[in-house]
Amino acid sequence: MKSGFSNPTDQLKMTVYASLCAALTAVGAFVAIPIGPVPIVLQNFFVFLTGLVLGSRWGLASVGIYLIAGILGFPVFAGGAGGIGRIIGPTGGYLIGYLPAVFIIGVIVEKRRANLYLDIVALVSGSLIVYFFGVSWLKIITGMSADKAIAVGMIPFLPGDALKIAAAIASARVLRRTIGAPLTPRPFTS
Amino acid sequence: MRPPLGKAAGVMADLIPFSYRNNHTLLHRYDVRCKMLSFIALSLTTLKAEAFGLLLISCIVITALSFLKGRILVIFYELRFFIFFLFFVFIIRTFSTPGSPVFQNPWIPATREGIYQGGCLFWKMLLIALLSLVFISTTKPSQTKEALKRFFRPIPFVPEERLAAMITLMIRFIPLILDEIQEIKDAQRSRCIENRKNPFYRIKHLTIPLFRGLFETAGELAEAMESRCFGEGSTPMMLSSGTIDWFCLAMVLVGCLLIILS
Repeated sequence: MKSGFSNPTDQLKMTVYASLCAALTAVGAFVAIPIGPVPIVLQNFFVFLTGLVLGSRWGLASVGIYLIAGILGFPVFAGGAGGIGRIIGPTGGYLIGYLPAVFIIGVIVEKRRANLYLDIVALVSGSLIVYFFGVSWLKIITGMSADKAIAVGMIPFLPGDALKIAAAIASARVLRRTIGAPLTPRPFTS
Repeated sequence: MRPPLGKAAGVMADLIPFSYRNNHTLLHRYDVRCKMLSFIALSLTTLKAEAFGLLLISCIVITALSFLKGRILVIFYELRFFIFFLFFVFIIRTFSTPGSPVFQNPWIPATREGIYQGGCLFWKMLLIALLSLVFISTTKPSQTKEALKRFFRPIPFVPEERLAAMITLMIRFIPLILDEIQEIKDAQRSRCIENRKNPFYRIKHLTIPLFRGLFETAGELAEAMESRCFGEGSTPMMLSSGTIDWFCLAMVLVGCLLIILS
């Protein structure tokens, strides 16, 4: 099953899908609602969706492309901004956390496709990884205590995350049928 | 019918304020590779700099901003949320850093050291954000892509052609997605979706057709690319650099080194 994308046609298709997911993540970041040092954005919803639909390696490629584009200055980060300043800024930890999160989500769902419980486990794990990186960096940058950092960088977003997880699972079910393809292990093979 | 990618890209500048604006200033003509290296060096130096270094970099940023005639107010307006976050960080630093108190009142535990540290952090982050914006406003995405391709070429196991192609596709997809959202919203409005009170119903009927349509378009695009023999050996874009570009880069690097060492 995993060798299903060894031919160039499928590789090209996955390249385009991964780029589309990166673009969706960027669009998700345009809608930023500031409620404190960390805004509410739809970025993580699209990162969840990318992991569920594209799997570990292509998901990693998609999020990697998104971050590289942002670091290079393309306006893809929260509020329509870009640049290395965002990575170093208060929300940089969340952005970096997307990389291991999407990979772990992909690894978990690749074990058995379209399994509701596995999808939930994958997305909860992904969320925790994002918060681990995000809150740790927020604590370092702002000099807050761990309790305060969790209070402003994690707790207010948990109800929204539950909704995003539910929406990502529902959307992934539709998209898996639309793409109609198995997950691929190797995005960058020639 | 969906608009072609090129047409949608034209709308992008209206939707995203931080985008390339065509002009013929010195910064626009500065070779993209040298410009990218200069801006990265300045950003990293900003992180290391103290008050005097920050003052020098601020002068460079103000000069660079002067090339973006008429856009400075727009930039600050669009950066308002970022400035709000920085202000929050400043407040936290002011009250959480130990040191000599500014006020006698114990209810306002602001310290001089906190104000200095918070102020420097605010200043640094704002300068880095402004540097990024100047780069975006004066560099064509195609030039950035080409420069990126050349920077990644010497690194083993990194497929620079595919990386650059994916970034270009991503940037091209953004206006298409925004257009598609608008199209579906219009279609829903014509079917009186506003009369539905349940927000979940409305969201479901926006997102499902949106995702399905976008992934179908992406599939069609992949087929079209394949039928046109899309490969990773396309003719590279010409980038030209003169002595003045390398001289400017050298000046920036020496300046950054001096700021770090001072």
